[in-house]
Parts: sequence; structure tokens; C-alpha cells
Amino acid sequence: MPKSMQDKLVVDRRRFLTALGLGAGTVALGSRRAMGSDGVPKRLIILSTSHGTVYEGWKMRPGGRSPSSAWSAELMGLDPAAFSRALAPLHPYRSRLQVLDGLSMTSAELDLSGYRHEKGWLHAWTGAWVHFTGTDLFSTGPSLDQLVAAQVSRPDRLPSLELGVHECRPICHAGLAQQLPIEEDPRRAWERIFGLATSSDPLVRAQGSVLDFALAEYEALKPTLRPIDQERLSTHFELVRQLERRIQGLSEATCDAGSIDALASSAEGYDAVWTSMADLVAAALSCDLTRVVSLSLGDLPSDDFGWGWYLSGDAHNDFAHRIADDAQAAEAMTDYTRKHAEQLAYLIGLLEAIPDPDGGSLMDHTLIVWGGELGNGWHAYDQYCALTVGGGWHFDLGRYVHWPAESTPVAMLSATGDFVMSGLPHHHLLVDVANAMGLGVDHIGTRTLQSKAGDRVDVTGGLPFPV
Amino acid sequence: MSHSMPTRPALLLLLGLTAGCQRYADPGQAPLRRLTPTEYNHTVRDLYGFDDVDSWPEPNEDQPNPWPFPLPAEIPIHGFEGMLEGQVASPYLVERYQAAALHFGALATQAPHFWQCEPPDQDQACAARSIDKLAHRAYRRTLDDAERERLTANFSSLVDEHGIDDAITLTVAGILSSPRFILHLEQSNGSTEDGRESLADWTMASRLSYLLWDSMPDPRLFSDASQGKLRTADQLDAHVRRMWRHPRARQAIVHFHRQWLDLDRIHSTRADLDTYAGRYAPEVYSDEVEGEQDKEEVWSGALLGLRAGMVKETELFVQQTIFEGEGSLSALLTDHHGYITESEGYLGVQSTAAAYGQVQVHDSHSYSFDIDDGNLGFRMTLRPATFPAEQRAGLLTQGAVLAGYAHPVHPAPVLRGKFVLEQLTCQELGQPPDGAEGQAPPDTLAVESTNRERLQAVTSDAACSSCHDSINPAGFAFENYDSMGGWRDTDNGLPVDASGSILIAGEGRVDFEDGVELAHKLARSRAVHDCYALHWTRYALGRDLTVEEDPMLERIQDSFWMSGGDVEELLVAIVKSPLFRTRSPEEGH
Repeated sequence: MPKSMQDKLVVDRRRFLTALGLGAGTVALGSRRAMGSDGVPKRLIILSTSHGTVYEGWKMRPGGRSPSSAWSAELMGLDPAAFSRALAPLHPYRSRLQVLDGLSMTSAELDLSGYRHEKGWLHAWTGAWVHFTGTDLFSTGPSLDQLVAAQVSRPDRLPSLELGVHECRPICHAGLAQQLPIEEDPRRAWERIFGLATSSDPLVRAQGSVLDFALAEYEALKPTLRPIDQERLSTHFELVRQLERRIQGLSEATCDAGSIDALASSAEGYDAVWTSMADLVAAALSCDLTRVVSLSLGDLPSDDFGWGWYLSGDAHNDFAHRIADDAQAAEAMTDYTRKHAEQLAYLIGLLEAIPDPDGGSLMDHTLIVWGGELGNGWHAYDQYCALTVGGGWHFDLGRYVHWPAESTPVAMLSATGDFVMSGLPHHHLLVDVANAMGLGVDHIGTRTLQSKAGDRVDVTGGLPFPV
Repeated sequence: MSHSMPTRPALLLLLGLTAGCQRYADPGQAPLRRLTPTEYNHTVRDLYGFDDVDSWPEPNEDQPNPWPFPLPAEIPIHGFEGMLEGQVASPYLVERYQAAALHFGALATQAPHFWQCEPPDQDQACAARSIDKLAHRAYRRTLDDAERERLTANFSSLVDEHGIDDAITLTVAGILSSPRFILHLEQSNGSTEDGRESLADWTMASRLSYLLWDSMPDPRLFSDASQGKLRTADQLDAHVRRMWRHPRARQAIVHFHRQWLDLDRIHSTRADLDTYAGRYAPEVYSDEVEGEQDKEEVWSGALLGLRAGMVKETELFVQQTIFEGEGSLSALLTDHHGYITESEGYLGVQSTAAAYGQVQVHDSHSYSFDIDDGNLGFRMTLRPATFPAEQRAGLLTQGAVLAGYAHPVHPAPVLRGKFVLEQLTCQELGQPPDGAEGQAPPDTLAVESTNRERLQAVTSDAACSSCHDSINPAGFAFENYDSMGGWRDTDNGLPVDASGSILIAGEGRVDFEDGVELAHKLARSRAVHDCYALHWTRYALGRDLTVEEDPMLERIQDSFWMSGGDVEELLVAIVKSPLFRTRSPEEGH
């Protein structure tokens, strides 16, 4: 029986894939959905970039406001020249922006364990203290996207999607020492999201029986195991049960998945991969195949933001580390952020162009949060520049919000190596986003920060917006 | 030598306080682990009988690569996969294991070891028999009646619904999804030894094969397990020596060293074109190559070949030294013989000999293989070589290691020093203070002084020196090797100073003039031997050791040292140790 079975698989799948075009598709409507307060499912996208930014190239001072008070300024009336160099590409979408100037990753600064980049990656989205074993660093709590996914995801769809570009860092954690893997190849991501729904292959559709068998084996095995092993096994097989529900749901979904051939492979250039990932995200959200996406973006090649000619063109070692000593390095890192702003603008454009079955566009029902692992490339955690896009059901949009740089009574290490008072702890942003997504919580990660000098800072509650 | 981790009590407390987490109050109880991506793929290979990569079915559009199947990487612990703490489950992981099961299930009927009868007789009855035999081998022990019944019932109902072909695919996929396949299920045999539970024969068969072969047991192991012949020290000793002689042992032992040395890190480094292309890939400057973009592309291609070559050289060196040569840790750290690679791609022929400078290449026994990254393809040929004894001494002076711990322009003494201290002397360094990494000197050609002087300048104040007094010398020892691993006598026109001294706990100061001398002294160190034995023991068990287990570890370390640092004897000592044959009982038993 040579390759007959193999050929059968090939023919079915290939025929079906080539039949997929870019026509208008139908969007799946589930019978029950986790709803926001107005009955519409909300989506969350976390965008995480590297090396922070250069504050002077990012900040804006609409109307010449003072840096020593908290204020909020409208963005709508500003023309492009009034936007900072780093944020200018987002000008067309200013009606959806909420720029947040004055945050610090205070908890990362106060956490004495581990290396700064790694620690930043963990603190940024978990708000939890890290655990350092002496050589390895682990999260001690789940990340924001996973908490939101637990709240808003459908059991018969992907709970969340972790995507990345070019040697990115993991940012999503399911709990203690449970770092989630990231898919960096757009084609593999496509398979994961759409493979089940688009396959007419009877074997693919019969997967459920394979999982049923595995679950039956597990049930038979469990009573024979020691308690220490039962616990370990049950975690794994609970995930298998969830997978079964997901497979069933995903295989029943109908969706215009586009063509896998139109996607870049991860070996191609950064921009090509980003564009493919953004396209995938838009398609996945529009078909309600997931509601929570995180995008971890690795180091940009310096040619991509116009600085390949400078020094040895290593964004990390040549530019990010030298922003305090070298004006050109600082300019380079401003352009680095600007490039990411362009990439974000592309994604927003895609989401705006997709009608949502519940009215308006997909973007109207989506919240995007942009942050990263550092305040700036020289490993500072203060001046943590963040922004949100969308989330208009929870946030006031179209504004630039500023808090004074030293608003919080706990000392932090600044970019110049001095100790200064902290900005507003980023926990408040995490809490606000969580509540925008319906969690109803008062904290994310830890409730209190404590410094060596004995200062205690309460980081519960959302952002204290100026009136 | 003690290995105790000062942070363990804190870790245990933390784990205990976090709800729904893994609890390893006693890792000595050996909580169950999953097959690693390597073990999974090797097990399927041997289950099916595809003895070499080319014997798998032809790739096609839908299955560009039938084997191996990419599974999510684990979190490396001390650099290794297969460790308890690094094996976390996630929805993505579970999906990928499911996809692997379906992928391989579809290939079952083409597997040499599947059918238990010849073609005209390959009907449903034979299929059922074949599946039963496959399950026994896949689960690595005999099936009980209930298991067998579930399997038969599953197959029958699938045949009714889908026909024989698809039913085989789905049934085998079920076997490959079963906890009995993907987990290392271990049982005790009911008896105890010094208060610890002795492990069952089937469990020992798997422990042996996964340690020595990264794969499932062979028929000899299965046969001895079924007859209760995997219990005595002599029986286990005989199997270790038998298995050592099989080619799979070479792959597995090389795999350990690849992880120990972190050889894969070389692929994420990028040596600077302006600094190194002239010496290592002069074709970058040839007339046909116009423009900066093209130069970068040619350089990328050259690096691909050079790096792949260097990694293969080290792997082959490890394999030959351990299996054909002297077989000792000392030889691994001091032998100045090795290999150079000639790679033939679209650029013509390049050789890593350029990196090694003076080298005597021999015509005997060359090894050839092809590599392809999807864009570029190369034919690589490794040739035996003798390097100057005053320039090269074993693993620490090989390109794959040196280039992996380097910045684009200048070598990285901090990374190299940290590697030597952690992986060779098992010294735990802790973390740098806040802001430390930002203080590193710029990595550019536009500098005065030497790399050593610049680093020394930024690490000499009180806050830094407490650690850097240890780290720096171990890294400066290798200042004679640039970021490509090539020998240099001068740095920025000034003579290289690679001298220094490190402190080895329990042994005192080790002074050296350069990396070669340091390598020779490390090779003679008892502490270094103990450290290597500790790495292997943890790797064999897939977990950290408990304080109570220290005496058993020390006996392994004594054995290794007494054998003259013989790697085969170390593995024999580990297998015969109670650490490997027993586990601590459950609390309350």
C-alpha cells in the first residue's frame, strides 16, 4: 500500500486551498458570545516593542502645557507638525488615540532580581514580581492578555494568539513559570488559526476522535498515579479537553481566510513579516476566531528605519545603549519608534476597513495597547511611553494625557544614573485595560510596591485621569 | 562537592503559595516528565523504523518535511531541555503535539515496522494485530486487558466509519496522543532500597534508552524488561556498554554537549562585515559584488557556511574524542586536534581554516554533508586537522564556542567568562546590579586601547569588582580569539594580554598566561570534573537534586574522577547509582 493515503490527503487539501480566494466571506456567528456591557464582544491587542523610546522625540506638549502638572489635551485640533517625530505616523488616527505620558515601570525598578531586559519583559504585562533562580528568570503570575482571554474568549475558539516578528521576546505568561510560545512564522500561524476551518480533509475533521481516545486513556490512567503525578497530568489533559472544544468550534467556523500563499515566511524581511501578521490578525478577529492577540516585535533591522549606515548598525548595542551620550543614537532610536508607529498605523487602517457585524468597524470594538519592556534603550524604567488605540466604550479618546514625571513617592534609577521619584506606576494602565475588557478588578499582579527605603505604594485602581 | 542552591527554600515557599501551580516539594520523587521534542521525534523514527533521514516518504507540497516535526521548545534549565521545571504545558503546546500525532499517524502504513504481515494479507485483522504491536512498543511496556480492549474497540468503530486506511491513521494518531506515549510514566517495582523505591524493569528500560539514545528502548531492552533482567548492577552495566556502541549513543552524547556548550547561540550572533570580511570572506570585496546591500548578502552567506561548519567541527570533535579517542573530559578540554570545514556553495569554496590560521590539514577520513536553510545550500566537507598546541586546546578554543560568546566587532569577555565559570566550574554568579549592562563599552572599531582595557575600566569600581574580579579573568583568557574565533596576537595594534587568575572553590587560585593554559589547568581540576558530573547527573534525572541526595552524587563524582574522567565510566556510574534506579517515596508512605 504505497502512497495512496498520502496522495489522498494532498489532493483534498490542495484543491480546497486553491479554491479560496479573496472574495467576501461570511463571518461566523456563534450562538452565545461573551459580551461587553452593550452586547458586543470586545477585542484586545497588545503590541510590545523593544528598547523603549527616546522621551524627547516622543513627547508632545499641545498648547505648551507645563510638565509639572497633570493635564489632558485634545488631539483632534492638532496638525501633523504638532505631533512628535516618533508619533507622527499616528496623526491620521488621532481620534482614537490616548497617549499616556508620565508612566513608569516602577515595579520593575523595585524588583531587585534579574537582568533588566528580561525583567522588563516580565513586569510589563504581568505586573508581578519575577522569580530568579540564579540563572533563569520566570514570571510569577499570568499576563494581562491571559487574564482578559479567560474573561472574553469563547470556549470553542482560540483563547488567545501570541504572534511575533524576528527574534522577539515572549511576553505572555499563563502563570508561574508558564511562558507561552510565540509563533513567528505567518504561514504556521495561518495554519493554526484557519487550518481547521478551511480543510475539507475528512481526517482533519475527524480529529475529535483522536482526542476522545487520548482523554479516555487519561481517565483510565489517572487513578493509578501518585498524587504528585496526577496533578501534573491533569493540567496537561485539561488543556487537551479545551483543545477538543476549540477544534470542534474552529472546524465549524466559516471564514474568509485569504490565501496562505499570500503570506510571507518568517525568513523574509521584517516589514513583510509584520504586514502578514497584521493581515492575519485582522482576519482572525473579523471572523471571531480569537479575541485576544499579542504581538511581540523584535529588534528592527537598522536599514528599516534609515540608520543602517551608522556605526555597525546594531540597534541594540550601538543605538539603544548610547542615547544619553550620542545625539545621533538618540535620533536613531526616535526613528526606531516612528517605524513602529507606522506599522501600528497599518494595523489600525486594516481594522477600520473591516465592517463589524454589530455595527461600525472592527476597530470600533477593539482596544490596542502599545508598551514594551523598558522606558528607554539605556535600560531606564521611568518615562515609560505608552498609548492606547480604541476602547472608546471605556476610555475618552482623542487626547494626550500627562502626569508629572515624579508623581509617585518612591525613588527610581533614572536614565542618567541618579535616583529620582517615580512616575505613575504602569499597574494602573494594566488595571484600566483589564476593566475596559470587562474584568472588574482592582489590581493586576501585585497590589503594593515596596522600596528598600520602606516606601509602600498602592498600585490598585485604574489611571487617575486629570479632570 | 556540594551543589546546593541557596534560593531553593525561597522557591519552594513561592511555589507553595501560588495556587494551581506545580509543587515540587521533593523533586526526588521524580514527578513525571514529557518526551522532549528531540525524544518525541527520535521515538517516532525508531517506532516506525525509518533508520535514516532519507528513508522517510518523499516530501511534497503539503508535507515539505516529513521528519522531524517541529514542537515548541522547552525552557532550558542550566542550558538543557528535558528538565522538570522547563516543561510547562500551554494550549499551543497541546495543539502542536496533537498536530504531530495526526501528521505521523498518516505515515504509519508506510513505516517499515508497522505491518505484521505481507501485502496480500494486509486486511483488518492484520491491521488490528499491527496496531496492538505498535502500541506495546509505543507505550514502552505491555498493555493491560482494559487498554487493549479500548484500543481494539476504537479501531473497529473507526473502520466502520472511515474504512481501514483512515482508521489506521486515526488509531495510530490516538496512540501517539495517549499519555502513555507522550509522558515518561514510571513505576516502582514494590521493593525499596535504603528507604527509596526501586523502579520497575520497564521504567529502567526507558530511562536507559532515553539517557543513552534520546529514544525508545530496543528489542533487547524490551526483552530483558519483560524477563525481569534490568535489576542488578551488572545487568545495567552490561546494557550501558552495549548501548554505548550503537550509533544512537553518539547522537545523544553529542546532543548533551551541544546543550552544555550552547552551540546554537552562534546562529544568533552576527560578526561585523567591516571588521571580519576581509580576513574570513574576501570574496565580499571582489569586483562582482557591487553596493552595500550585495556585500551584506554575500557576507551573510559566508557566515552561514562558516558557522554551520564550526558547529559541525565541534560536534565531530566531541564524538570522535569520546568514542574513538581517549574518551575523557580532559581530552575534550585539551586536545589540539580537530577539524576544518570546506563549504561549497554558490560563492565557490570557503574554508574555516581562515579562522584557525596556522593549521595542518590531513587527507584522511573526510566527512561530507549538505545543509540548506531554504535560501542557500552548501556541501560541507570536514577534514581532520592539527592546530598549533600553543594556540588551541579543546572545546574552549573552538570556533563554535568562541564565536557564540562574542559581539559583532569585539569578543565578549563577560559572556565568555560567565560561560566558563557557570558551565565548567558550576559557580553561580547571580545577577548584575541595576544598570550594569548599560555600562558596557561601545562595540565599534573606532576605539583606542584594547578590549581588555576598556572592559576593565568600566568594571573596576567597588560595585562591579566583587563579581567582575571573577568573571573578567576567565573571559580575558580568550582575548587571543576574535569574534570569529580566529587567533590574534594584537588587538587594535597593541599586544593581547590574556593572562590572569581565577579562584576555584575548594582548590584555590589557578594562574594562567592565556586560554590554552587555562584550558589545561581546568582539565586537571577535580572541581571541573565534579561540575561536569553534576551537569550529567541532573540531565539524566531531568531535575535538580535534593540536599539528601548529595552523598549519592558524591559517589558518582568520585567514580568519575577515579576513572580518569572517562565519559563512558561516568554514564555507567550514573546508571548504577541509586539516584537513577530509585526515587524517594511519596510523603506519608
